[in-house]
Amino acid sequence: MTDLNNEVKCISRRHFLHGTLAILGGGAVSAILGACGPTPTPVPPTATPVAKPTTPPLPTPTPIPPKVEITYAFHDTDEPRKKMVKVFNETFPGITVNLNWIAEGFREKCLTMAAAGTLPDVIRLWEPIALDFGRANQVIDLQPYIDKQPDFNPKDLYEVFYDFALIKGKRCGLSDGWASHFAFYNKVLFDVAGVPHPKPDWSWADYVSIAKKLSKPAEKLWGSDTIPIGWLHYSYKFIWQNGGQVYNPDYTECLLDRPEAIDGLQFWADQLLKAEIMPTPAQAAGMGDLFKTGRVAIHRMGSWVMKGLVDAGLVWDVVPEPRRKERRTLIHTAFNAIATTSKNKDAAWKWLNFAVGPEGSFIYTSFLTFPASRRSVNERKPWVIKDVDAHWEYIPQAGEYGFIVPAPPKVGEVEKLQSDAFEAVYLGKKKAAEVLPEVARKVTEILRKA
Amino acid sequence: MSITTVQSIYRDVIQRGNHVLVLSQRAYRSVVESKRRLNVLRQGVVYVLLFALGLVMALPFLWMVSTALKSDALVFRIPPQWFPRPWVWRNFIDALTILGHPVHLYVWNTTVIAVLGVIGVVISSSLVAFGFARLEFPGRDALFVLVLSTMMLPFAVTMVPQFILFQKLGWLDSFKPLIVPYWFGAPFHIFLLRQFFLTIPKDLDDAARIDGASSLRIYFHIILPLSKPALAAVAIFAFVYHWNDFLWPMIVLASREKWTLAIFLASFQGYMLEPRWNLLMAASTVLMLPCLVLFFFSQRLFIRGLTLTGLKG
Amino acid sequence: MKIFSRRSGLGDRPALTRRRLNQTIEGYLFISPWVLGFVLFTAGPVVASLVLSFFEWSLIQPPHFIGFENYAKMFSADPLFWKSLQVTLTYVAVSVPLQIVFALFLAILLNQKVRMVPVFRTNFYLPSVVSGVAISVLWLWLYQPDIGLINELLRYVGIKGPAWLVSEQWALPAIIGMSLWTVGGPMIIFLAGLQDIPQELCEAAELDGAGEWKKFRHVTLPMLSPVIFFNLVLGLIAGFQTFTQAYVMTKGGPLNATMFYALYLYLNAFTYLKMGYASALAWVMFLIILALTLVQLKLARYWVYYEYEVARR
Repeated sequence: MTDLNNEVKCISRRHFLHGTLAILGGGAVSAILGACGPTPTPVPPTATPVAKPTTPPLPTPTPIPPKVEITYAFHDTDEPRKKMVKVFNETFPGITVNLNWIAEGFREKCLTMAAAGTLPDVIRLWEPIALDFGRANQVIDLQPYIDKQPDFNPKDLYEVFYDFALIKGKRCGLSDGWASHFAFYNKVLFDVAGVPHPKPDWSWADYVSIAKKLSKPAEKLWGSDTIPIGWLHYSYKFIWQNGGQVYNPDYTECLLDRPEAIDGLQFWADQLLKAEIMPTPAQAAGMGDLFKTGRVAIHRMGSWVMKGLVDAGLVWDVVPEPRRKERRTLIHTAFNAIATTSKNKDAAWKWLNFAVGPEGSFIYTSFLTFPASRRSVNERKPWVIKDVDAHWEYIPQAGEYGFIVPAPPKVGEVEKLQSDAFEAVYLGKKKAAEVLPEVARKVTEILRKA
Repeated sequence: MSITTVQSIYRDVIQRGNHVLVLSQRAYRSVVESKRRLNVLRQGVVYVLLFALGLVMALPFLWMVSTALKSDALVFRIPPQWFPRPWVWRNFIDALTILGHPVHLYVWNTTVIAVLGVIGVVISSSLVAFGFARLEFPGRDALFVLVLSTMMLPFAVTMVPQFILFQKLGWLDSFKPLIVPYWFGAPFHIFLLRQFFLTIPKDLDDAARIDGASSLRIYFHIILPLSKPALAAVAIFAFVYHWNDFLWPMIVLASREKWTLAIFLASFQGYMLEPRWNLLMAASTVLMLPCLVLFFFSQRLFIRGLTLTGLKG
Repeated sequence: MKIFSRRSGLGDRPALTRRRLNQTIEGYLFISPWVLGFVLFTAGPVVASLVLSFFEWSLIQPPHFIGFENYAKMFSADPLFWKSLQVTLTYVAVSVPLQIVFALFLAILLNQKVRMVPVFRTNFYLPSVVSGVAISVLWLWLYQPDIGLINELLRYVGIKGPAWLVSEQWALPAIIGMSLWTVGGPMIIFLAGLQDIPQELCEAAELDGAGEWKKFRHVTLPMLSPVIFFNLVLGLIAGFQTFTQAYVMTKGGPLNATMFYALYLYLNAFTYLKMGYASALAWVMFLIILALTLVQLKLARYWVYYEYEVARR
């Protein structure tokens, strides 16, 4: 018995240590540890807004070498991209664009590649990652390139997209297409109940009264879809529509302690808890898509659902989300950026400019039936699904009044604090007035330190 | 030492192993006879349990097949229809031809990775396990704890350093990071094989050694033949693992021509895109079939460990 | 069989005979693939993660050294660390024994001499092959509070089922329940172990008048103890690393009731961009698992039946 005692001790001390020391001999360690720091690459001259304003080394006269290869990484699908590359190569036959479709684990792979200093030349980043990468100088300032591009018309882009990626004076990405939230409704359920269809300028009160007319909770039929309480950004809409904000413009303060935020969140938490117009989380859990199966009449959701609604054979229409004080909605998009470590930045810009330009973004958005980030492209209505009758004209309007998913520094950490608080409110454990001021204080503290 | 010597030792051990009890045929028969009635009842209970549990365990598969056969409109019906009407067989074709994916390439890639990975891991892990189970040398047990301990650190924190390592080696966007490490043994398989090797009586080795057999010879002619079931089990586990693994392949592979089937499946869902569950399930169903078929036909090998019967005790 | 034989070569140090020297050389040769692989592919990332646990590192900015701050913060100022540790320990303490008992039960069932056993074996192994993400939809429906299958069944026997995955109290039990579905791996290992038990032993016990239970208690269990031990050690290691179900289905909620340690670690690494902190969490987890494994190795001596020694006598 003592035998084993000794053995275990031996192992845990002497031999284990031996093993560990043996490892340290491995040259791999130093290689890896050394590589954890390539990201620190000091800010390249082009990316420093203050440095050398006299000699912008940018769209330098250096001509693009006859043959260049660049890589373009994105998360969704490569079908439209293949077509884009074909069109692009008609103008720039010397630039080969390798497509890197990161179908799953996008976030993890982007971060891993950034840590290793091997980001693709051009990368299409989600909102928070785009800004994080901009702050960390993983991607370059595009402004000097934009300035040198004669045919680039910033006015063509919706302001919300053009300005969002401006971080510390650097424009770290350009958006191509987007999707935003609307209220979709089941026309059949409305007509059967004899309820008039919602008007585009409806209010929260209208929403509640309409939903009430359509609800029969005893039969598991509701006027409104439930609130996905684990989806933090979904609830931001309630704060915005109530005239509030989540952060101040430069992300140094969290404004969730303001009455607009507190009342906005509490209003919808009350609706959820009352369970008169919408199912509770427990009732909705595991029920699948309540809207597609005709159990709810109104579904506030992102415009990407439209294709699925058509495929499911639903008779539906769309209307902007209701408001209390302001018309607001949530916009999802992504920003094309050029990696600081890219060795072919000029070629990368040529591709990026094409991808977000009128031609490239039309190919992309019309494939996904999304609106584009350019007004001129939207004149060609890429989001309209053929032969389907709906108020399609509402879709691009959201570009004028919607807000993009906010991207503060330390976004994961501060959003976890908010999610926990919102969840407690939605589950009726706490009142918004009890938790939000505390959360706002903590978040502001983190933001200030960042 | 000749093979026949080994075999005679083997026989000897079997006979000695039977010292526990030698059953006379008659006694054995009477036991069987008296138990026959009980057996009928017992078999009945076993069948009921097998069918009941079998149904529960089959649920995920039935669910997949049933969803795979549903039209888009039926997918979300709750409570679900287990027998959709009509059956949309087209989903299977759509799923495997979606967006012009070169699925045949993915099948080839996955097969190459899985087969090479399995071969490597079986050979190397059995060699290593032999060392840990049947040879005595200083530092062995400490090293064995080190083997076990490499399973205790979560992948999330070693993934980035590993990626950097393979980048330095210039192995990114190739199958090497998915195959080569397995040629140096995997801790799970080393542990499993070691446990099985330990159940083989040491006398076999000792006798062979007296005859002058080398360790390598003992490994090849005594241990490996007696461990076919365990080796087959390791092969199955490794195959299923490689077949379904997707995070690490996703991280190291870049071009679509190098994708594996698991990545292909993952691509059915996407941010801002509606997942098409029926197609996903159709593809999943087809792609898990090789694992099932392999399991079905190899279970005879790895479940019947009867070769060892009578060897111990 | 226990993990370490008494003749491990650690404690005793008689003069090295030629044979011992040979065995030492041979031993290191046999395990050299693993040692090489460890040095080449594993050690670097492992040490890197240890070093990084003393850094603050966002992955996208250069790391900077902060000494023991990560560890200090974990124990003094991070309630979620304690919460996730509690969730994981509860999960491991309940699910690992349950999984082992259930897997053993299934294995015994599949070891009966009845028809169609190969089909049932494949059937029972099914859930372990099906990809987890695709099946989460099925589970969400099974656990649906109003019309889900599980609560329907409970209602049938007069119990009003809880809200399961959306209930702070029942979400963790729901996930533990799911884990019982995928015991195919341990089940197969048990099956192999069961078939390894010499038929004569059972028959001898029968002749001695032992009933089913006695046979199970005094023959089957001791003979299986090495395999039980293997499944226990691996179940513990895997249990601590569990997070896929929680990641896919509950995201750690409601109110952090399913915030598994490995999930929290993962969120720190790739969502909160605190890779240094995640590494520190990983190493604390590593130490906990290592300690528990060493305790198991020690306790094994009291209950794991060690044939190896008997054979040597």
